[in-house]
Amino acid sequence: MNNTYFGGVEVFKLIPQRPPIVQISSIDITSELTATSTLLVTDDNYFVFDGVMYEPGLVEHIAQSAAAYAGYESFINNEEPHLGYIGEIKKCSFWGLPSINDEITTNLEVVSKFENISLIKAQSFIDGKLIVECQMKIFIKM
Amino acid sequence: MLENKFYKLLDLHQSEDDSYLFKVELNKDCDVYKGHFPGSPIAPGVCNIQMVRECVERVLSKKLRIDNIKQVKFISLVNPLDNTLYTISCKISVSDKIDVCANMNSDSSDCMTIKMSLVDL
Repeated sequence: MNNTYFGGVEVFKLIPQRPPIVQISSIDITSELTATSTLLVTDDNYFVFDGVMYEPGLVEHIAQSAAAYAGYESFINNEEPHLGYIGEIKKCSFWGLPSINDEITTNLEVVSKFENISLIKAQSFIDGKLIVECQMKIFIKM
Repeated sequence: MLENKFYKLLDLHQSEDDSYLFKVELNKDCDVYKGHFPGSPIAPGVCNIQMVRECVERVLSKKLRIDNIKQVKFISLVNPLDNTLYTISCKISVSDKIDVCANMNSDSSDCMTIKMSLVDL
């Protein structure tokens, strides 16, 4: 049984992104098609201004959660994580913006997967309150 | 937020009542490329979205938050080593929300289309 939880610098094993753009603090691959990720919002976050994290940071957090989910497959095959790109974002609504020291928790679900294209759905919460939900198409460069 | 860091606004031109053209120059030395991706710089799609939002904020002279993104399509990768000059054409309709329909392109290719609604921050 592989370990499915990656936190801190361990997440670098799953994603090709590096500081200053890294937007996940941990990820747990909870099943073959689901994962739960977190982001602790710090004052040096790339998308924090005047103490508030803006929407592009939330979208990037979800995209990197999907990248980490895809990277897990590479990881268990002893490969480096592949570069991944967002192809499309749909039905993305925001209900709040995180502040410094908030911890965002994101539930990610892979709706479909065909070759190197995945369609994912995600919802992010702070203290149980929904702040964003969206759908994304992610391309993984093989 | 990203202006004069990720990009510079070179020109702003109102093409019709509700339509604007922005000429932007990406900063290929921006620190974001240290991480996106090491040795393989690609402008993060979310930074391009933020750039469109800042352009709208500029013409409306107010701070806005994104209420929803109906759809964004990333059509081609934006590599700042290949090209730094891009045009954003943007249609802005103001009702109870500020509906934005924008297209980002270089001379040779379309990069992104976006439909989103903004509201006062």
